[in-house]
Formats: sequence, structure tokens, C-alpha cells
Amino acid sequence: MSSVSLKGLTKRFDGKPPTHAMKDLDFDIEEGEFIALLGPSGCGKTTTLRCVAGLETPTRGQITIGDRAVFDSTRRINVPPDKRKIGMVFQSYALWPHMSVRKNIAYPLKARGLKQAIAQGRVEETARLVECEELLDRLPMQLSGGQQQRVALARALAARPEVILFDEPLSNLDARLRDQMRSEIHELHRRAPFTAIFVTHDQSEALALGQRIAIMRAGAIEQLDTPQRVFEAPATEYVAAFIGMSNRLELRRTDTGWTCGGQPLEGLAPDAADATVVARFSPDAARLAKNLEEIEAHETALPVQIVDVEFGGRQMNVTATAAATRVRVHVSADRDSWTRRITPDDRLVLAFAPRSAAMFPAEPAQEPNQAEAAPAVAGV
Amino acid sequence: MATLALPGRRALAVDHRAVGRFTMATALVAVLAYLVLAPLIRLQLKAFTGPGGNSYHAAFARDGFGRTLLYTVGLALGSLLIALVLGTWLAWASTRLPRRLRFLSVFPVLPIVVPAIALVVGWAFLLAPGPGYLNAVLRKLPWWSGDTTGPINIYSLPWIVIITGFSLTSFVYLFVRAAFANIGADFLEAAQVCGSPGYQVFFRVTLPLLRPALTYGGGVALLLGLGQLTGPLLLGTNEGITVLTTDMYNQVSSTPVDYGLAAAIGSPLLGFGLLVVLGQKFLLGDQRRFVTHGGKGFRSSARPSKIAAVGIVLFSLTATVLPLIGLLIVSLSRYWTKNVRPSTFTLDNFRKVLEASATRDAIQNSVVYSLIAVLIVLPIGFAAASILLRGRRYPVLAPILDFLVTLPLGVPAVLFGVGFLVTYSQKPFVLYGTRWVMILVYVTLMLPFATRMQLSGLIALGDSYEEASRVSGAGPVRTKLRVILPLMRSSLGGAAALMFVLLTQEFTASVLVRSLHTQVMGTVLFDSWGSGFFPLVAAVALIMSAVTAVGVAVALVAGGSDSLNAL
Repeated sequence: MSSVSLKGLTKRFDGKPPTHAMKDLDFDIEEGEFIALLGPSGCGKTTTLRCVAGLETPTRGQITIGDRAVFDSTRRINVPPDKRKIGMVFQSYALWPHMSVRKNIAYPLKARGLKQAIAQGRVEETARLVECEELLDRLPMQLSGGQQQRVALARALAARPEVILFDEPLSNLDARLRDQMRSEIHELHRRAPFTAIFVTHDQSEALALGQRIAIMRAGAIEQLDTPQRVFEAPATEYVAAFIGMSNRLELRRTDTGWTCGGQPLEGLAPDAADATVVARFSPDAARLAKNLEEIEAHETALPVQIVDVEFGGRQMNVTATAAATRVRVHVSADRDSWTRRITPDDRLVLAFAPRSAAMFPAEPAQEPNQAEAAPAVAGV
Repeated sequence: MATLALPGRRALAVDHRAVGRFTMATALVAVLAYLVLAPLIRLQLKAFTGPGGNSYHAAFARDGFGRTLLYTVGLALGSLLIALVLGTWLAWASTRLPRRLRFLSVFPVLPIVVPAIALVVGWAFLLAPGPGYLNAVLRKLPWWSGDTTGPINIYSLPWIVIITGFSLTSFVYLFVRAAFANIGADFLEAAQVCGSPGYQVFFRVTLPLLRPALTYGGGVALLLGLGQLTGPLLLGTNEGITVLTTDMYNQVSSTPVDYGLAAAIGSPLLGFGLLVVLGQKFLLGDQRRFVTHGGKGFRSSARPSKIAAVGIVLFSLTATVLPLIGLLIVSLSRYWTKNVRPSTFTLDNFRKVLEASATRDAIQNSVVYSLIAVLIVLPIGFAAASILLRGRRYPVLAPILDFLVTLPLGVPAVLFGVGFLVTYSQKPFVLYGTRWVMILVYVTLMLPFATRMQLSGLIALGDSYEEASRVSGAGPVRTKLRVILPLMRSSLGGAAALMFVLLTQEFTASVLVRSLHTQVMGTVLFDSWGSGFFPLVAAVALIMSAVTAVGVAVALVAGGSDSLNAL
């Protein structure tokens, strides 16, 4: 296991017009660190991963694995994938159907000339690690999706590579199995740490697995931080939208106080220096109240009109308009709660705590097209 | 080798692996260009450098050339019409077969796998005006009871057209049936739910969706009809019915040999073939779009039909079984007469064929040449398919390569035959008279099949198996040997067996390139036909069919029942 470092990595696809899969990407992964690349499809996360693997050639930049440069455009270094000491788990698993599970797991050992490791029982040991030792003599076709996933993981781990690359490995599994595999990978990494890059478009996967998360957008990193920091302090409005803060309110400071679409805000005023800000918060971070009297001291409030109510099992999903902006709020579906009886056209009060919302400058200078991502619920 | 995409010409211009790969690809294209283009170009040059300037004037001013041209077009269009109507009907019928009779859908393909020359000879035994068995039967009917010959004369243009039409029907059938399979049942159900009655669904939805397949299949059938040599040569010579291909053959096989004249006669065929190949590239664009399909497949909403089954059986009986019966009767008889006497049936003809060294050598040559050619063309096809698969990496080479490996499909085999004769009987490679010129022409003719079949195999395989091997630490060679080849085993086996089938029955190019010592089954059969040893002809034709049948059986075992569709 090794550290991985990307410097100024750029991949351009020739075309009309030429497009960039990624642009001047910089980041370092420490030894034994599990990093998640998160972003919507087409943001360049898979291309980044494939560049680290050597399956794609970047246009410019450097990739270092351990202390060896595997790609350097200025020194014309481009180490082929088989010489890079990596392991990779594919979205389709890519287990070779003509080889037994044992042969699949032994393949990287044979290809790298590690006969001794095979003799010492590395194949069985790795299979035990991912709990598939009883499958060793089966063919991939005879395995379930989850089992194939385990074998693919074992194959990637077997030769103890310097870094393991995951290309959306859980997206082909059904929801229940996905949760299970996610916690198994997490546990495996805790027991026997390995350097890993994990590409996903699922924010909950990234939050759960990544020791740090890189959120990518249009070939660049928007934020690289621990899941806690990303969740609590999203760096940009795009990140906030991507991790589930789907409600967006534009707030304006006037002489008499803060307003939203012309309506005055009640309760606690947002703590912002700018004259106009965008508040982002998730449907779970807000609540509905019958009237302004029920608002607590730490909350900001705004009158709303209910548009639609869906029953969601444990909660009610309420759509409302606040000053011509749509917001979604999850409220209690408890049988005894008054919120069970909310109906369209009710006039209620939306309340949220400014500290659980994220505030952004309304027209951020560094990202002129930020506004276009406004309803960005992509991937959430 | 699949893993290091060249990012564009500016960046990383010197990557020694990419350079090595590019050099090898260029070398392959150069070799194929010589193999495919040299014969065609050298032949064409002959047309311009004949005695007295160029041979076109001489060729086109001869008596009867206008009639030859007319017959050629008539043969091509007439057989195309038969093939389109019959082929489409049979394809439709194959979708309406009752479940238990689904296996019948293979039958209309049989005229492709049974040697064409055997079928033509078989038809002659049935429908020759004098001793033809079917004619003899028909003369027992009251309408023709007084006649001594007829009523059908196989040695006439209409019957050559009909016989050719039967064999082309199989090609149209293959294309249209594949298209039927790709029409999702939901398209038709959607039309029905929208209120269209059955016949309207057929004309408004099904037929328009079949149009690409009909155009493509019809194009292939038209090319085959124009380049048809076997039928006109065996059946038309007696009555002086010549088409362009037989005219070419006559110029090359009778003294004085005039290559210039032959080349000039072949020019229209060459031009049309080029036009079709280039036009098809232009119309279809990137071929990969057409290779894989999903969906539920075609299910006719109508009830399974008895008429469909009866029609398919009737076609197979007429187009395949009847001529084979004709062959069988003659091969068991001492002489070919209109009277069949089962009591005198004998296996002597087979014994003679297998004892005579000429025929034995020819059978052996057929098998050996075909096998060697398959062994050579498979790796070439694999390399070509690998390059075409990553066409974006070779922006110049890939289209050239695609053109080269498609050309033998568009240009009639008779042109390649004469071209090889011209090219390899002079420097730098004097191979005429050796087995290698036969093998080279076989390799050239099989290029389209070897490449296309392996290309679709590789596409179906996808990239991830190969990539998984590379990131596991295996180099390109190990990856090809341990992962790609084993996974391609069945499609390779199917391709090999099918090419073996097509080559053992090859006649058109063989008859032009053969020499005294490089006879194959088709040419020996043709020579015996010319000398009038009909029972021996029949025996050779049956043996030829048997060799082919072995190849088909291997193809079906190796490649599964779909391998015939790969044609």
C-alpha cells in the first residue's frame, strides 16, 4: 500500500468542440486512506480513476503511486496498467467466466510472478477475508451478484497492490445487498487498511465509506474534505445541493430586515454579511408550524402555502410554496400528530434553524454559472 | 495493447508502445492492400494496355456483347426479384412457425451450405430437356404426352434465373429474418393498442422497419447475382447464353488467352462492386451501431400458421432436396438416362471416384487448401477486428482497413480469380501452378467473414474482461492468450468451420486459378461435366456435399445454432 498523488491532471477529448474530462486536477491520497470520488455522471470521476489505473492516458499532468511516477507528461513516462501494482473492482465485476473463482483470484498473483504467495495459500487467505472461501471451485456464472462482488474484491486484493480502485462497484446490486456490501467493505478496510479510490454517484455510499470525499463537477474538484465537514460545511452551493440540501431560498437584506421574495422573514435573522444570500437546507432540516407563535428562538420562519402531500411511511413529504419558491419538508407521519392532517391549500409556517442550513453568496464570483445548478438534485 | 489510448496527436507524440502498435497496424494494412488491391489493379491495367491501346473498344464492339450485358442484368434483376419475394415471405413464415417446428427455420439457409455447383448439376439431371428425370415425369401427364423432350429446358435463361434466384433467396432470408428478430414485439403491440388492424400493422410498421434489411440483403443478392458464374457456365454454355462472368472465363480459358479483353469485360462488375461497398459505408456509417441488439425479439401476434411450416418445407424440398435426389439417382446409375432402374443401382461410381488419383487428390487438395487458408485468415481477421474495434485510435488506417476487408464481398470472385492469375504468374511473386496461389485467393475471399465474425465476437465481449486482466498485472500477450482467446473460443470455432464450408465448395475463383496439379473438388466436377462423365459428376458432387456437411456440423457444435446467421 502506498500514497497516491495527482498533479495538474488534465484529460481532453478531441472533438468539436474539444471537451475536458478533467482539468488541472490536484490531490493527494495518504497511505491507507480510503477516498471517495463523488459526482454526477459525466463529471470526470471515472475517467480520473481510469487514468490512475493506466486504462486512459491523460493529456497532461503527473500521477505518482508510492514514490514512483507512473505518468508524467513532461518526462514522457506512461507506465502500462500491468506494471502499476494496482487492483481494480469493476462495475460489471468483469470476472472471467471461463475461470473458476480460485483461478480468478490467483490470476493477479500468477501474472505478477508471485508463485510463492500461491503456494503459501494467499488465494484461500484472501477468499476467507471476503468470506467466499466455500465458493473457490465454482464458476462466476454460478454466483449471485453479491458473491461475484466479493470475488471481484478478493481478486483486487490478492496481490496486495499499492492502491485499489473501485469503479462504482455497488451500483449493480439491489438496495439491500448494496447496504450490506458497503458495510463489509468498510469493515474490511478498518481491519486491514489499504489505499483506495472509490468512485460513486451515490452520496450515502461516499459519506459512509470515504475517510475523505472529493466532490467533482465538470472535471474539477469542488470540495475535498472529511464526510463530516462536507456534510456540515459544504464549500459551494453545488456541493450542498449534491449532498441533499435540495431546498433553496434566496434571502435579501432590506432596511426593515430580511425578506424572501418580498415576504419578511420572522424569527432569528440569518448571520450573513452579504446583502443577498442563498440558504440551502435539506427537507429533514426544516419543519412546519401552525402559526408564527410556535416558532422557537433559534429558528427562522416564513409563511407557506401547501401544494401537495405524499405519505412516505415514517414521514409525510410535503411540497409547499414559500414566496413563489418550492420547498420540500419532511414532517411527522405519526398518527397522533397534527401534521398527518395537512392538506393542499393549507396556509402554514415553514421553520428552519439557520445553523443547520448552508449560506452562500447569491452570485458567487468564482462560479458564474452557479445558478444553473440551482435545482441540482442530480444524483441525490 | 487495448489499454493505452493515444490521446491525440499533439500530446505525448512519442510513446514507443503506441509507435510499435501503429507500425504493426500499418504493416497489416499494407499486406492486405497488396493481397486485395494488387490483383484488381493489375487486372485493370491490362484493360488499358491491351493490343492496340486499350481493350475496351475490342471488348465492347464484339458481336453479341450487348446481349451479354442484357443477359447479365436480366439474370441479376430476375434472380433478385425471386429472392426478395421468396426470402421475405420465408422470413415472415419463420416467425409464425408453431413452437414444435421452430427448427424448420434453419432449412431455408441450406442452399447456401450445399455446394452451389452440386445443386446446379442436380437441377440439370432433373430438368435437362431429354433425360431430365422431372421432365420424364411431366411427359407422363396428358398435356405433354406426345413430346420426346421438354417441357422444361434447364439450359435456358429463365431457368438459370430461377435456379440462381433460389440460392439468393437464402441470403435475403438471413438478413430479413435477423431484422424480424430485432423488431421488438412492443412496437407491434403498441401499434395494435393504438387501433391498427393486423394488415395495417404489417404495412405501416413491420415493413418500414424491415426496409434497411431489405435494402442491405437485396444489395448483397444483387452483387451475387451479377457475379454469378456457376449457373451460367454449366447451364448456359450449350445454348450460347453468356453473361459477363462467363465471357471473362472464356477469354481466359480458351486460346488465345486475352487478359486485356477479360479485364475490360470485368470492369463494369468491378465498378459496380466498388460503388456498392463505398455507398454502403457512406449510408451505414459506423458499422458498430448495427452489431448488438437487445429487446424481447419478434413475436408475431397472429396464431402460429400451418401454411408457414408447409411453405418452408416446400421451399427446402424444391431448392435443396430435389436436386440432391437427382444427384443420388445419377450417382448410383451406370448411365444418365431418363429411365430410372433401381435394380441396376451400384456404388461403382463412388468407388471409381475414390480410386482415381485425380479425384482423390482433388478431395484432399480441397480440404488441405481450405484448412490452411482458414488458419491463415483467422489471425489476420483477429488483428483486423482488433484494429477496427479501436477505430478512433487509427483515424486513417481503420477506414482503409475496413474498405479492404469488405471489398472481396462486393467484387465478384471471378474478378479476383482472373486478377490472381495475372498477378501471380509474373514477378515479383511467381506462384501460379503452386498451391499457394489457391490458398492466397481463398484467404482473400474469406477476409470479410473472418473479420466481421470476430469483430462481433469482440464487441459482444466488451472491454472490461481485458481491462481487468491488465490491471491484474498481465501484459498484452498474456491477456490475449489467457482471457480473450478462451472467451472467443466458440465464435472462433464457428467462424473457422463456416469458412471451411464456404471454401470447400468454392468454384468460381478456383476454376480460374487452378492448374493441372492444384485441382479441387469443384474444378474436377466441372471437368467431368465437360467430358460428359455424368455418373462420376454426381458422385463427386455428393462427396463434396458430404465434406461440406461435416463442416456445417462442426460449425453448429462449435458456434451454436446461431452460427449460420453470422454469414
